[in-house]
Amino acid sequence: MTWRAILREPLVHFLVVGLALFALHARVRPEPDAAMRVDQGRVESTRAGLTERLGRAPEPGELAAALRDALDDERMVREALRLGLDRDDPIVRRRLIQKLRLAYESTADVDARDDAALLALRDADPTRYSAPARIALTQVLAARGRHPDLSAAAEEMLRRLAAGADPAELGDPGPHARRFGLRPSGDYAGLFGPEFAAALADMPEGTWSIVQSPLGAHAVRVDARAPAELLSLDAARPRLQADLAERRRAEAVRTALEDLRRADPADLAGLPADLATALAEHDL
Amino acid sequence: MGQLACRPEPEPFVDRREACSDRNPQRNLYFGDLHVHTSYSFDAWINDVRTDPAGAYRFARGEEVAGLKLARPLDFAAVTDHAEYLAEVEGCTTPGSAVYDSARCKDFRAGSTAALVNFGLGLDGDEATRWDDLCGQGGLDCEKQAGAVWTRVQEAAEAAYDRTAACRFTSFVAYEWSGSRMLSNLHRNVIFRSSRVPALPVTHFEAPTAGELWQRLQGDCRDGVAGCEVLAIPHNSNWSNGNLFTPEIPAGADEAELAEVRADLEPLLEIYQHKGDSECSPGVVGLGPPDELCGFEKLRALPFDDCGDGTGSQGMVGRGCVSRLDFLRGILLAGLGAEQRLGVNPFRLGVIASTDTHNGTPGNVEEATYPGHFGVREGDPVARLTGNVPAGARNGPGGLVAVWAEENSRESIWDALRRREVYGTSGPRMAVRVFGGWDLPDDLCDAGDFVAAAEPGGVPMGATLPEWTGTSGPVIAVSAQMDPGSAGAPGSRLERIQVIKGWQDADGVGQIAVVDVAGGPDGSTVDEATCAADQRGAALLCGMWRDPDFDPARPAFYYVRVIEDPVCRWSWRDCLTLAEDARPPACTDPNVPHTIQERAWTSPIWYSP
Repeated sequence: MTWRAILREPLVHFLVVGLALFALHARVRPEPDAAMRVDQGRVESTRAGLTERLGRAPEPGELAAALRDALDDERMVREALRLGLDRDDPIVRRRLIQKLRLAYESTADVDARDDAALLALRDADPTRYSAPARIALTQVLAARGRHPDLSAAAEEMLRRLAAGADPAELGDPGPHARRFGLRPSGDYAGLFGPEFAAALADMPEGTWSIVQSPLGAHAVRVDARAPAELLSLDAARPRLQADLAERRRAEAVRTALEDLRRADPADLAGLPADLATALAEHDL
Repeated sequence: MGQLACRPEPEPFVDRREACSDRNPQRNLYFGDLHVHTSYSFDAWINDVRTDPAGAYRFARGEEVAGLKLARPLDFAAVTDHAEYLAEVEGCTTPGSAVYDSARCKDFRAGSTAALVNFGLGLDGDEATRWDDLCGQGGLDCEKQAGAVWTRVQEAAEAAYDRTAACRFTSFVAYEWSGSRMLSNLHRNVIFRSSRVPALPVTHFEAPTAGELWQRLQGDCRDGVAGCEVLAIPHNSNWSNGNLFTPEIPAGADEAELAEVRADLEPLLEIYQHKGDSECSPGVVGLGPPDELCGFEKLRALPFDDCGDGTGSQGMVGRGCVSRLDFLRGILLAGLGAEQRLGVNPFRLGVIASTDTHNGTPGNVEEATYPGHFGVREGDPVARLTGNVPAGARNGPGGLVAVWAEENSRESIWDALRRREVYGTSGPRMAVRVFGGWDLPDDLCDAGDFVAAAEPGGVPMGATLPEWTGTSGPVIAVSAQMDPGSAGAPGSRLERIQVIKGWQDADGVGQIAVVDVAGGPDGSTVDEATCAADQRGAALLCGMWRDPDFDPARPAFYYVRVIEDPVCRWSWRDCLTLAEDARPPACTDPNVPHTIQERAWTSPIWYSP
């Protein structure tokens, strides 16, 4: 077995992740009595912190008060833990979950980025790694409120455009250019509203249609379409690398959770057997 | 003009990419956010924000991140984490680092207010230095560590940038230089034109003054990296007690030369974001006649002192005097004065808005779904309504920057920012087009293609009028289309378009005039019990105005404000979710309005004799 092959072994991964978590835990676990110890270093760092905050050296009373406050905090934390006050507190729970999640995520190997893994990721979700479908169009607006009869104004516009009138001569004086080149179809939702963008999906090319939007009635002609196109590996690489790292972090959390589920199974004894079986199938 | 005027234009395309399939010489409208903090910023991490730059860009592109999702993706965004403390935050939050167990890092991870204050104060003043306990002997190699974080910032921008012909999304490599003095805000966002950027961001520690920042940007970027181009965008002048726009002239320096450098590197002002509006304000002399629309989203509520011709301190904690130089109008007028005196206008400022989100959620600007902007500190209605970072219920979701550019690529959008063909909105996506000229067709607003008809004889927002040729004043023509909204969240109608003119009178005193040029008060109402809005305004407004009091001998500027019909403000929506007896004082505070008239402010068009 080469080193490379060994490194690919799932069991090795498991051991490495386990060791990393152990080391991490050893590093972040506080020494039990350090928090109550007041030594010269602690006095000086408290003094320095206060000096920064106050803009001057603290009085002896202020220094003592700051040290006492920190010790009191620790005393209260210990007592609260002894009384079990952490157990039902949603904020404490959220913090603990967040810390553990980050610890799991930090075990993920986010730097290995071989092309095969990137290609597999791309091909598993081609829509995400494609240039979107695009539409080029010309549009002229009859704005709501500027015409006594909006429908009649739109129909008249349509009739003249179909007869070959110049779009620049018609419609209301809006801020946008009349023609748009090939743009992602979603862009048109931003420009003229979701109703407008939805109407483009089935619109034939080269003929004028009326589309209603919150802005009024638009005469629209689709000039060209370009289909969605799967990106080459090079074009998608930066995004694939970022997504792969994200995915591996999520995977590290998922794997760790699977272990936790095995170690700490749900108690389904109180449920009817069929319901318990059905739920158990979902990795409860 | 000095040497800067001779600097060659940047190459059209520095970054390798496919040509955009929609390149529109008449220019397209793109919406973005150029002020975004993520977990890399000390004041975001400390409030439990864990969305990193890559996550923020995913959010901008319309993906769900940390349980939130934009109804409409943005077209572009820049993550602008505080350049200061990039290394320290990394070290304090990475178990096993040389400083992880230090008292300061423990404080930081505890997320105490004291730690937030200490980190904030550590940035104040020209003498600020990196902390020795974190970056000194035995601590981190902060330069190396900051470089590693900065590389990740660039990688996140790269992963989000669409280099295909679809040109769906543009990211910018950027950061925030976070200097302040006596707690007067001097912050700038530094936005690069391409992926060619210096190896490290410039922080307040190496460059304590704006002048030194500009010098470093010139040296590290323009002179130091082939193809590197950069601009800096000041924000929250409303927090600066007049200091952000009172020029500092070091002994022996040439004032005109400094003005030229400033005009060259800082063509824009972010006038609206989470921490309020910086267009104008009641209670400050020199911003024009009474204008009730200036009461909009004020961080500082009367009573306060007017700085007059001086400056103050402690603006960042809501104290000290308020200056006319804290507001766009006063700054633009000061620019006209400097132009007459020095021959160069240091404050020829275009206008943008952004969010300044500290949640890593660019463009999350809807009043109806505001989740706060500062992590857990604003995580629920009561926290938002009672908070004090910095103004509690007077904060808001922030705004967007709108750009008229040929295409959605870095170079095209950056160049539009540079020429100021941009505007800011308080959140909505109304489309606003402005042209100024001496001979624009009289019937521009009647019918037909406004852009095609106005372009040949006009200059766009952000530009300077060509030489005066006619016999009368310039014409300002404006077309504004309402925000079409998104599925299930219709946009608001437009109430009116206003032109705001600023000029110097014969005595050299700055003057302001505000003119309605289309629409007007329209009787729209909001039912405050339900927040249902009855809007009577227009879907499309178009207006033309010829300046009747034009003096060809005096410089002037003209910018446009577009006002929407009112809707419920976020704070009142929060109040309505609480039982009446559980509502905090902000729900009855007269300084916290129940409704808001969202708006757009455009870059000015200038006249220079």
